[in-house]
Amino acid sequence: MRVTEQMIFNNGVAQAQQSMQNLSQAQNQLSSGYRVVQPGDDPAASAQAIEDNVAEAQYTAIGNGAQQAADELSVAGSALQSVSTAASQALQLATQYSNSTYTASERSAAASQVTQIMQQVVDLMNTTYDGRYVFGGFKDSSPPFAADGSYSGDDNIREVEIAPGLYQAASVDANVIVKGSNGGVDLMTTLANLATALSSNDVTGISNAIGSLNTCVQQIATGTAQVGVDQDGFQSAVTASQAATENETEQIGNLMDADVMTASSQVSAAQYALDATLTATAQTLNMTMSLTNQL
Amino acid sequence: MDLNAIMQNAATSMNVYRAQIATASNNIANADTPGYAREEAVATEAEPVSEAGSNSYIGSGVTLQAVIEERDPNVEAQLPTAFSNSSSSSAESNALSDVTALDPQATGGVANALGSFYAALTNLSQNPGDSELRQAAVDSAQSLATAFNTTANSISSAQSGIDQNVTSLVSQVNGLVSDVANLNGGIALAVNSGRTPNDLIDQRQNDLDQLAQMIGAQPVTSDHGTVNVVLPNGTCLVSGTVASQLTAQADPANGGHVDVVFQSPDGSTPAALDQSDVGGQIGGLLSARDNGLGTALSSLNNLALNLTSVINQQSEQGYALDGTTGHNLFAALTSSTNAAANMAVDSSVSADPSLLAAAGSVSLSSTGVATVASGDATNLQAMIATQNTTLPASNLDATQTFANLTSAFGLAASTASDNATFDQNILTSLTNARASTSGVSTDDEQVNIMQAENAYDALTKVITTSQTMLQDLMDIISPAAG
Repeated sequence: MRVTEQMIFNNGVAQAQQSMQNLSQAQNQLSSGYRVVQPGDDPAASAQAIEDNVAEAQYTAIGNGAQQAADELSVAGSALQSVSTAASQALQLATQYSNSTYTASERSAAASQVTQIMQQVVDLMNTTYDGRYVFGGFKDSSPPFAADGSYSGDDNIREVEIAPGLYQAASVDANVIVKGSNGGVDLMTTLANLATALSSNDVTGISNAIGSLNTCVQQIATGTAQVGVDQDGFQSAVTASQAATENETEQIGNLMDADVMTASSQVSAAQYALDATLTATAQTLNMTMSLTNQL
Repeated sequence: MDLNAIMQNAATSMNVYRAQIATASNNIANADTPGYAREEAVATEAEPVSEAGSNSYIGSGVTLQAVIEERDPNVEAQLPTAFSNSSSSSAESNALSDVTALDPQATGGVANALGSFYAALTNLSQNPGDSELRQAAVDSAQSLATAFNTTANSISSAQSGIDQNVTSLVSQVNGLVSDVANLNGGIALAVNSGRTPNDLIDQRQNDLDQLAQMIGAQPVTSDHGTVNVVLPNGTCLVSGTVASQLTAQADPANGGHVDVVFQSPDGSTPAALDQSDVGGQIGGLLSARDNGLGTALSSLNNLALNLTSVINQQSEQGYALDGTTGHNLFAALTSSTNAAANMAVDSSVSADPSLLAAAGSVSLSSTGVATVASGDATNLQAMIATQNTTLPASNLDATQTFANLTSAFGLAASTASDNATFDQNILTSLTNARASTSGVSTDDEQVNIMQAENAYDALTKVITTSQTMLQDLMDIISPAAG
C-alpha cells in the first residue's frame, strides 16, 4: 500500500483520539467511582440496578416499620404484664377478704385498694407509644378505656409488613384480652364488682370474683404470650430486612461500581498508548522531512 | 535525423519534464487540500521519424499526453455509504449519550423517587394517623411526580436540540446541493470543449463527501462528467444542473418536531421524508430523536399514566382522616400525551395531607357522621401493594417497567455507540485506501522532481553536444573562418 504523510498524520490523530477516549473513560470511572454511569454503559446492569435500588428502599422501609412495631409491642407487652400483676393483686385481696374473719370496715378499706388497682389497670390499658394508644385497635387517637372501665376502641388488629406483601399483627385486641368480649371475662367489670362487694361487705360477691379473676389472669397471659411471639416475629423481620438491604446494596455495588485496579491499569495503558502514538507519528514525519533536506 | 532535429526534439522533451515538475509542485502545494486528488503528468513517446534512405525509424523524444487525476473508482464507490453510515451512527450515539436523565444512579431520578415513594407509604402505614408521616408521604409523592417531570423534560429538550441541529444541517445541505449543481454546469462545459477540469472535479468531490456525511446522499455519475445526487430512498437532490431544496418543518403529528421536507424544482407538492429515507448526520439525529429518545419518552408517559391511574383507583376507594372518600393521590391524567411532564400530586391532598386516603373503612356515628379510625391503614396497605401491580401496556410492575425502559434506552445508546465504532473503522480503512491512491506523498513528489530534473539536465547536455557537433561540421565547411 502506498502511504502518504496525510495518512500517517490522520492515523496518528485517530489513534491519539482513541487513547484519549480510553483515558478519559478510565479517569471518569476512577473519579466518579462508577463503572456504569449511563444506561448505555451496560443496559442489563442498569435495569437490574434500578430494581435493586427500589428493593433496597423497600426493605429499608420494612425494616424501619418492623422495628417500630417491635418497640410498640414491647411497650404493650410490659403494660399487659403490669395489668396481670394488678389482677393478681386483686385476686389476692379477693381471696384474703372472702375469709369470714374480716369486718365490714376492713373490707371497705380493701374496696378502695381495688378501686385504685382498677384505676391503675385503666391507666395501663391507655398506654401510648409514639403518641398512639396501643390498645385501641384502629382507634388509636383517643384513650380506649374510660375511668369506669368501658371500652371505646375497636376490635381491629393493626398489621405491619414483615416482608414485601406479608403482614403480621402488631397489636392485640384489648376488647378480647381485658374486656373478655369473645366469651371471656371482663376484668374491668370484675374489678368494679369486687370493689362494690367489698364495700357492701358481700362475701358471696367477693368469692365469686376469685374465679373470674383467675380466668382474667389467664386471658391476659394468653395475650402477653401472643405479644411476645409477634414481637419476636418483628425482630426477625428487622434482621431479615437488614440482611436483604445489605444484599441489595452489595448487588448494586457489584453491578455499578468501578473496579479501581482495572480502571487504574486502563489509565496507565491509555497513557502509554498515547505516548507511543505521538512518538511514532513524529518520528515518521521526521523521516519524510529528511528527504526534503536532500534536495 | 539531422542535428537540428535532435536539438528540436530535446527542447520539446524538456517541456514534458517541466510539466512534470510543475505537476509535482502543484501536488505538494495541495497535499492538505480537502477533495484534492493527486495529479500525474503522463508522458508518451513522440511519433518516430524514418531515417532517410533506410527502413529504420528513430524516436523523436517524449510528449505530454495528459495530466490525469488518480482516483480509485472501487474505493470512491464505497466511500459515500461509509461516510453516511459513520456520520449517522456517531451522530445518533452522541445524541443519545448526551442524555443523562435516565442514568440509573442519578439522585432525583425516577428509580430513586419510586423507591422512596413506596418506602414513605410503608413508613406511614405503620402509623397512619401521624401528620408528619402523612406530610412525608405526600412530599415523596411530589418528588416522584417531579422526577417524572424533569426526566420527561430533559428528554424533550434533547429532542428539541436535535430539531435545531437538523434545521441548521438542512440549510447547509441546500448550500452544498446548489454548489454541486453549479459545478456540474462548469464541468459539463469544460468536458464538452475537450478539457478535464480537475480543479472543479476536486471541489465537487469535497461537496459530495460532505453531502454523504450530512444526509447520506449518494452520487450517481451521469453524462458529460456531471454527477446526480440521490437520497437513499431515490429522491433526486441534484439532477445535472438542477438543484432541489429541502426545508425543515415542524410536524404537528410528531409532537411539533421537525420533518425534512423535499421541495421538487418542478413545483409539485412538497413531500416529508421519512427518517429511513435519509442517512448521514441528519438520519442519525432523527433516529436518535424518534427511536431511542422517542421510545423512552413514550414509555415514560405510559408509565406515568398507568402508575397514577393504578394508585388513584386504590386511593379513591379509601377514606381520608375526616371520613370523606373518593380522593385521588395524584392529579388524574387523561391521556398518555405529555403524561410524565404533567404528573402532579392531587392539589387538595397536597394542600392537606390528612386527605390521603389511608383508611379502608368508615363507621357512622349515632348522628350519621362518618368517622375514620386514625390507626386504619388497610387502604394504604392496598396502595403499597400497587408496587407489584402489573401495569397495562408493559405487563410489568412499575419498577420493572422503568427498568425495562432504561435498558431499552441503554441498548439503543450502546448499539449506536458500537455501530459508530464499527462504521468509523470501515470509514478509516476506506479513507486510507483513498489516500493511498489519491493522496499526495511529498516523498514521491520529491523523487519525481529529482527524476525530472535529472532528465532535464541530461537533455541540456544533448543540446550542447548537438551544438558542438554542428560547430565541428561548420569548421570543416569553412576552414577560413577558423
